[in-house]
Amino acid sequence: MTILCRVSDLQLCWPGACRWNHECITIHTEKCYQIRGVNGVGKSTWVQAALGLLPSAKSVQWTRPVVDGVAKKPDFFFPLTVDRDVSMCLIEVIEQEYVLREGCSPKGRNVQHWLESLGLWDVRSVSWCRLSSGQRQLGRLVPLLYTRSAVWWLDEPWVHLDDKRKICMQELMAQHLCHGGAAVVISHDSFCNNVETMTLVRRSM
Amino acid sequence: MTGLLCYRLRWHRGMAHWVSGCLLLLLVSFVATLLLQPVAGLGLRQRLGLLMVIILLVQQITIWQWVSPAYLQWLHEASCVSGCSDWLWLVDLVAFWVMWAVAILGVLPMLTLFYEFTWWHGLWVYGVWCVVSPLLFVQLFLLRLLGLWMRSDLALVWVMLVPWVVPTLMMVLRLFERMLDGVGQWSDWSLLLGLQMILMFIFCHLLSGAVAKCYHHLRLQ
Repeated sequence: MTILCRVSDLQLCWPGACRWNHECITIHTEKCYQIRGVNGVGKSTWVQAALGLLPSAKSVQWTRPVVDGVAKKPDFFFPLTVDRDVSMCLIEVIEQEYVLREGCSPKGRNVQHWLESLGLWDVRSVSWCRLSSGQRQLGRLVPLLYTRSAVWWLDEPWVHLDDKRKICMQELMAQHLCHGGAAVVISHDSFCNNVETMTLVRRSM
Repeated sequence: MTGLLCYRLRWHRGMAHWVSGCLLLLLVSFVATLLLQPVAGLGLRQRLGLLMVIILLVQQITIWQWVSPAYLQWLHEASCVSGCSDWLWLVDLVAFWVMWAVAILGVLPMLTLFYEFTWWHGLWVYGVWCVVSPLLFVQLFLLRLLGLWMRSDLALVWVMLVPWVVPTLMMVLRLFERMLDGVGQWSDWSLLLGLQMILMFIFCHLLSGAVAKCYHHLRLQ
């Protein structure tokens, strides 16, 4: 197994910000890591700090893997937070995110395939703000179908999803792991047998 | 970049801030001209000034509606994944400006009617707005971002905005004078454009750094 990323003793460089007690986490190919912890401990904050969205100490190192001859992007994937009041229709939000991530417009039939595979094709013309929470969550996960990023960082990805879609997304993740990827998932529930768990505990300041 | 601009234009069109902004502009103009009856009693300079101030206020309100904490979160996260990187806000601001440029052109006939301008004066105001508004939008955008995590945001914002707007206002006033006197204005237009470009350069760099900082403040305060 190749090492994709190593996170050790992550700390936020911000006055009064939370700190955590945890072991170092080394992310290998074909592995899934679950981050657990009580509500409010700062799981999402930890992930955001690890991804460089928040000012953190330099304790995250990325490697550039080539897995099974497939050139993996050495960076990470995480779903964007789309404002729930956005009035663009679903298909426009999906296309816009593709342009942002890939730098070019998606092919129409690809978008149709992605939306059909997640059962969203029928609501493609519905405004984002009118979609149900589950549909919005699925919409945010659509980029998983085309991203080539090696490590997926997912913050409570199964929340609001029905059982069928949950299984569908878990199969997608299993496929990603089989192809030499890795996933770091914040979740309170057990979702997979072969998963390494890391529990965050808030450190006293 | 062009593809993304198209999507951001659709986003702005869908959010309809510009529609409410235009309606507000017409409404405030209508009320102002009613209160200041007879408008014909006001000098041309005063009417032009009144219109510019009302446009400024309405656009400030529109930007305040548009830039929300959720928007800032999207902006920073999208910047981190997109090739546009730190300049994604600029694409969005260009889209916002285009929406407003078209919208103001649409309501210009009504405005000329309210303020009793000639067509020439209406187009002249539109021209000045086109030159002045990009910098104004950048300034308002920056102040809105700061205001998202500051307590007395509005007061602070106006205290910070006014000194930066004064040079532009002085230049516009000078242009008004020249236009009314019928003296050649090309040198003043060039000066105004140059000043806008220099200030734009400064503010764009400030804003590029401010997006990430404001996101951090918002998340970690």
